[in-house]
Amino acid sequence: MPTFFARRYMRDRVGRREKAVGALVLAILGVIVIAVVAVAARDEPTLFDLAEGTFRGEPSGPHARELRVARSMMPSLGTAGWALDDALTVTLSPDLPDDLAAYGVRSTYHGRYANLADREQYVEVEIFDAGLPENAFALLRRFTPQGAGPLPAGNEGWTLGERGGFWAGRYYTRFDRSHVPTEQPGIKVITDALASVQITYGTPFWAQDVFPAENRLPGTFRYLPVGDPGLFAIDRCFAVSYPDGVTALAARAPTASAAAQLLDRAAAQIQEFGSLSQSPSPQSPIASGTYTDQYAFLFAQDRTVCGAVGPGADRVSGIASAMLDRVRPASVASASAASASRKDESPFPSVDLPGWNLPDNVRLFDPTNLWEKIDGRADLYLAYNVSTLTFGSYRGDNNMSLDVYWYDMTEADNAFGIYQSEFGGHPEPVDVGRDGYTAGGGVFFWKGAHYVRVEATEDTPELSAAARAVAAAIAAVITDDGKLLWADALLPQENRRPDSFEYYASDAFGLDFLSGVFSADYDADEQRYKLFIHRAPDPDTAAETFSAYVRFFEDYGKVLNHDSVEETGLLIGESGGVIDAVFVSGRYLGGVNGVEDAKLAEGQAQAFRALLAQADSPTEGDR
Amino acid sequence: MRITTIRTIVQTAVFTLFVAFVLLTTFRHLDDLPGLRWVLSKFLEVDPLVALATAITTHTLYRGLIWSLLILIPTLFLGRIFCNWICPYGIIHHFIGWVFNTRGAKDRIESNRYRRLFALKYYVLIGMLVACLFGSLQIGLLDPIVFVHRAFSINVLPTLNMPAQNLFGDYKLHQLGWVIGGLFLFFVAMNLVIPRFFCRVICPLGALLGVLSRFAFWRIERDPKKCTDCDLCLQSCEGASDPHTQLRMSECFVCMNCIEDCPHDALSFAMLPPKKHEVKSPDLKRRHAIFATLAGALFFSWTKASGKSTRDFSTKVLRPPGSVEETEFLERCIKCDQCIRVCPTNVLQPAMLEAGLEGLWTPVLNFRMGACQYQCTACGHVCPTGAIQRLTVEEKLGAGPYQDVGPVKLGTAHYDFGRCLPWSKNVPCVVCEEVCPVSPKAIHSEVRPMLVRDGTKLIVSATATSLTLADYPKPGAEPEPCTFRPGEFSDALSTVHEVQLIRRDGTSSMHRVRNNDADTLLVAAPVDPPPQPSDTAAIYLQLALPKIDTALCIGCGICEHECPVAGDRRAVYVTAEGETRSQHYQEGGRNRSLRLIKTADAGTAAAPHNAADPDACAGSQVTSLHNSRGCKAGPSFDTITVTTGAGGHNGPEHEIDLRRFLS
Amino acid sequence: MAQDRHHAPDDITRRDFLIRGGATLAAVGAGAAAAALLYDPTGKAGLMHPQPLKLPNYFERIDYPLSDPRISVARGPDNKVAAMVKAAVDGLGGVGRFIAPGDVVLLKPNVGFERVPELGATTNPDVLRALIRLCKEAGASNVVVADNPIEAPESCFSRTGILEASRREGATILTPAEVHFQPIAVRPPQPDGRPHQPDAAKNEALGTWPIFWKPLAEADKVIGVAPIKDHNLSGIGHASMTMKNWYGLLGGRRNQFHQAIANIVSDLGFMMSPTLTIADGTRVLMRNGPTGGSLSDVKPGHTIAAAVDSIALDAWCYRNLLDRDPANLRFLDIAYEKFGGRPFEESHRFAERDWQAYRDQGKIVETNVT
Repeated sequence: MPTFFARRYMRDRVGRREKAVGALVLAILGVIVIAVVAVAARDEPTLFDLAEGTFRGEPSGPHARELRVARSMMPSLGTAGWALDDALTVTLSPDLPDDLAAYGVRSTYHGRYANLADREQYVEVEIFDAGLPENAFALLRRFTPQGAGPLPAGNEGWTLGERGGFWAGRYYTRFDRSHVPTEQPGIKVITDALASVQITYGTPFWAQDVFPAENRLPGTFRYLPVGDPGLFAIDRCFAVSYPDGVTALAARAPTASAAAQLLDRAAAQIQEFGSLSQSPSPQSPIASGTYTDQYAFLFAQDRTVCGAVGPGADRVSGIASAMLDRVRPASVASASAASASRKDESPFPSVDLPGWNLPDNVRLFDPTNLWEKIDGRADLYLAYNVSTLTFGSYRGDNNMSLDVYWYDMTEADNAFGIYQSEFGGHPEPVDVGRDGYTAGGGVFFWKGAHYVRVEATEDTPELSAAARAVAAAIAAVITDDGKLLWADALLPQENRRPDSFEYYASDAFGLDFLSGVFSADYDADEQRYKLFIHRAPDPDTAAETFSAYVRFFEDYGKVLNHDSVEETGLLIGESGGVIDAVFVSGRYLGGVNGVEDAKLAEGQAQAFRALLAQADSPTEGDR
Repeated sequence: MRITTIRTIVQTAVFTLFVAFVLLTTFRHLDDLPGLRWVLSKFLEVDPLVALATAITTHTLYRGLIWSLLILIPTLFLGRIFCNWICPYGIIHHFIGWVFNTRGAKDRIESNRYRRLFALKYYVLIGMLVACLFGSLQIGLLDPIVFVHRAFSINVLPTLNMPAQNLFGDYKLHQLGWVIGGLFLFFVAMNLVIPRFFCRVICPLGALLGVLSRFAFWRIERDPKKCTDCDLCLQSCEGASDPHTQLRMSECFVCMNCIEDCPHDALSFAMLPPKKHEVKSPDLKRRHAIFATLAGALFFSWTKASGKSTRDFSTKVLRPPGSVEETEFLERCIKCDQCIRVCPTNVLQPAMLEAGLEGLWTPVLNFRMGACQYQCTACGHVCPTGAIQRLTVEEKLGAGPYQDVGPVKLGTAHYDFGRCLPWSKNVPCVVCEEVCPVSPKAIHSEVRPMLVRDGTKLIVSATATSLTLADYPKPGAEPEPCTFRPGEFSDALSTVHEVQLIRRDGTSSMHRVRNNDADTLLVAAPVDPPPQPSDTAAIYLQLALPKIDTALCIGCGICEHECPVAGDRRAVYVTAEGETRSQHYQEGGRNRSLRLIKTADAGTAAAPHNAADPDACAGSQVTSLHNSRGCKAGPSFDTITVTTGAGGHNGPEHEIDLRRFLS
Repeated sequence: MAQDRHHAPDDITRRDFLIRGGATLAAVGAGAAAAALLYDPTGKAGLMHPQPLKLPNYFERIDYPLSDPRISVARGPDNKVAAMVKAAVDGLGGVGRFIAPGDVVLLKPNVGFERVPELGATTNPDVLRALIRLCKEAGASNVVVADNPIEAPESCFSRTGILEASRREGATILTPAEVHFQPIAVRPPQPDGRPHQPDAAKNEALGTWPIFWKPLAEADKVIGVAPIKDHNLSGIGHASMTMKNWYGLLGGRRNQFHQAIANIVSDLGFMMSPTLTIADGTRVLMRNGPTGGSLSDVKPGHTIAAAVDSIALDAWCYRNLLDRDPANLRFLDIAYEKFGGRPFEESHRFAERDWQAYRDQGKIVETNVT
């Protein structure tokens, strides 16, 4: 039984076996240490340096960013058996052929998908960045060959033989697989992948539904970056062809004024090559005329310029007007036209007076800041529901000036009302607008929904003459149907006192529930009475007002025909010694106001009611 | 030369190696001598307990752990030679016991007798291995190799560096490092109470080797005929293994001292001596063992049940780049803290309880200490167990071959608007944007005008280039003239101020401020139309407001580290949400957030949005969207009204055709 | 004897008494003296700051008449960097004019970030190598390369190739440590010894501030070599150039200065007057600065510019390398005001002037390396 490492081997000297073991141990230790040092000192590639060409995938150089875009648009397919090889090139606008530049192309990306099985087979892909979807669309229309079949990729994808393409977003993509001998099913993968990273411009172009659909020639909807060869003034527009050579155009400018300028350019061109029958103006932005045996009818609406060109005048204007209806919803028409004109140039018409020129200090006020201009009287105007005040001073030489206050009262009633509550001075009627009169050199009138004050700084003949001219010019641009006010028409004319026709915007006869009331004074056998009429938006509200009337008498006076009010719908009440007779019929609330004699009141009320009943009907509701 | 002398030589050499390895575990040395990565963690790799425990938790033997055979096999022949010949902590204890040895011979003999207490280490081992069975790796807390690595990295070496900064640069800081150091010292000090206290009572590795040493060929053998029972063999017995009677094989450290000490040549190191002279296996009590098993099982279930590693994860727990998913991480990390030692920026810190009790002393990122270096993957290279996988730099950055995979994301940055200088304090800053390392930057800033304090003033008189301002009066009061500090808004300063004129007619416009005195602003260019008295003037400061692009953020935390709002809560801070390692593991919910997961297509999608912008509308603001049919919303709006000139509201308007931005 | 002691406990010799009494008195005296020495009646003495150091003016150490060229530009291919550097310096009269034999030269590259040189975020190591070689040829006894990076120093120096370049050429690398920083009085302290309070209204940013002092302490000449980069801050015209390069000498929580970046950068120009300034235009970071991170951000510049007038140099680089309009370089004007017009009249107006005029006056010399 071998044992060692015991003292008895060590009395004089260390035993051989122990030596051996010791040597062995030290040897092992040495080996370990040496190994450690050797391993540690070994020359290895450093751990934290980036391997050579880590950024190889990363584009660099002058067109780095474009390349980045290009790569992001050509996805690496990986598994699909195709791979984008490194031959990715970018061409920027100066180096592009001019015809492409005409389509707004800024840059083209060219790449190749190689077949992993056989690198010799590859599909060439070219992507045009056309800047705008319209341009991409136009490119597609240009490059699509005859007889191309559909391709389910992007928008309106086409394919014919080895080539194909589609547009999406602002890009037009086309590919060429002529380097792939046989039809590869994998190619669909490529087109799909390409389409997948582009935004398909889903909804149809805005112009699609501007063009009337009926007998539109199929497949002719197109975009003209450089304008129709005929009417080149209007470029960057959509177009559609109709039978017998009629072409409809639709362009959109960044702003309304730009649209107007575009229309003017077109008009100028028509003028140049033919005759212009209607030249556009801010009020009616329409240009029509014939040029090179073509008839053109164009109009601007807000930011849009539309129209049609063709041989037949009637067909052309027919299509054009159809487009007009589509572009402008009736409701917003006038508003937008007004805003457009107001936005673009001075709202005031020019007067042909020597030495007088348009206001340069035009300011627009609305209910919120009206008080700045007419402090103190603002509330009155607000009571009459003023919408805007356009102020400006026509300036003449030797610093004469005419201050024009042009109020838009939203309704003729209010215009008349404010006119008549502002009526004063030593009026001397002039034939301007409605009931125009001059006082102290100024001219004042109302027309349509507008009330206009032309105020002269002093009362001199030439100044007042100028004032009339200005007033006339303004009156000319205000539209008005020329009818009587509805109330003026409804209130009986015979034995009405002259100039007694009045309007109370609110609190008529001091009754807080009675507003928007017209009245006139009448004489009947030395009895004076006042007929009044109020039109409510609908019968129910009229009825409410009527019951309010009843309540008023119950509270502050007494109802004379208490029991018969319901069935007759006629109220006779007395308050503070004066008697009112009130009736309601349909939307109308009318009656007699402030007489001593109940009989008279009732009689006249009945008469007026009868009169109203017959005058009433289709006319109701106009204005 | 005597065998004990040889032992001393070996001990010295081994300990020197150990210190050298830990000392060299720094970024700089790993960078200079890449070969070191085969060496640095060797002591941990040869540790059989580490190998066994991780093999139990992960069912694999990670890379270098195969080296543990280097210790295992000799043990099977020679017994626990590891404990007194190789183990650095054992060597320290041995040395301390020798240096501070104050006992007399008799006393020494008594202190080296075997005690019941020494069986404790086996129960510790059992408990920890049972916990491993369930997947909670805790051996690192007490395994001597790990323990000593941790103590040296966190305490000893930084302390040595303190006086030597001129040579070695700044010493590293470690949160709550004193706990680790204190424990280290405690066990060392215990040698004065019970010699080799740690090795005899606590050490689970010793226990493992003790169990194995029952197979040993050789052992200390006492010849009863020669023995006079003088017990002198005990006076320097390291393992307290009763060489004076039946030798306890599981306790003997094979230090050979007893052979030296025996005056009667009764002791020898013998091969396959008679069985009756030995106690093969440790004296385990079955009930204690069962209790230890129970404790291990409960430890696991209770810590797991606290949910700290899953649903209730702490946002502070960001793991080093390359870390495996959290539960796997806890199955692998032995808390040796070599990653913390090697980290060049000091961002890695030993966790206290952020990661739950299981995660004690595991590495977490603390961005007040540092930030994860963009092109550094050092931590993975020193990790012995693969809790932090070895990454190439390309892999970490998602560059080159890994372009489609995308970068490794540690977390995601967020802003605390209440603390951010530009967002809440009108102070220009965006350091975060400057230091953001990714390209394109994940932090981008939007220039916006911010109203200065009480910035809305009343114009009392004005020319085309000057505005005399007053504070808006209280109702019925007279406007009081302003009292600016002269030059407060001067454009000679590095800040840019603008004044917004709001006219009575509702129009308004922005104008750059050149200078000011107490109550008058001088604007750079004449204003047309000239401002009127009783118009309003609002004074704005141009500010760049930082924002995060979660698709690009990699959570390196340099923004948080550099944020000048220096408090414990920075204005920008990184949390674990969106970390790559949890991508396929939703239980923790760390990725349940919009677009926080970094994916390949997110990467490529980022490219065009920063590349193709024909009209840059910086400092602009969209006021309305129309489409051709005039309707506000809907998928197909095609123009967009933008007011430029940072005015935002009512500046000069122009329309941009949105279709140019499509794709 | 022993018995005597035993019997006469109270007999104490004079000698004994003197020794023991003397010892006690000495102890008392020592205590009192120490107290008197350290006595601080106001309680302020302990709070007094040590007198801060002052940076020397490294430009005044050489003799360079203002009539001589201010900027020297060398253009050439990427593989001729060394030649370009030499040509650029020769344009100003050769390196011998700036470096005297035996000088210790501090080269301050931009190692701010941990990026490979190709990414253009840091100084091109080849440029640095060429410079080190020039200095050595001029007889410099030692060349120190130092910077205080934003990211971890060792990895920054290693990754940017600066470490290797310096080692190859035998220059000393100095990475920052807390002990290497010293408070420097950029502006003289207040009379009572408290540091100068920077006045934002005067665009001041620095009073007394910790500076990476160790390399400066032993340096006789200082040469800044900075890459021309894009930067995210508008206050400095979105550009980081030679003047911003001195940012790398600041310690402390320097990131607070971004709140008035133009002030700090102009202050840096005011604080540090280097012997020579080199603009490294070999790789120009055009966007995503100052960190870069992608080759697509980098534009090959093929240019090295050397100058004694960093204001003019920055203006020149801004227009000719970054292709931007120097009109938005407000911080140059601010810096110029701080210089009080010295040393280079009107140099900040370079921006508005036409460069041709300056060529004709010989203020710019240009050479092409082929």
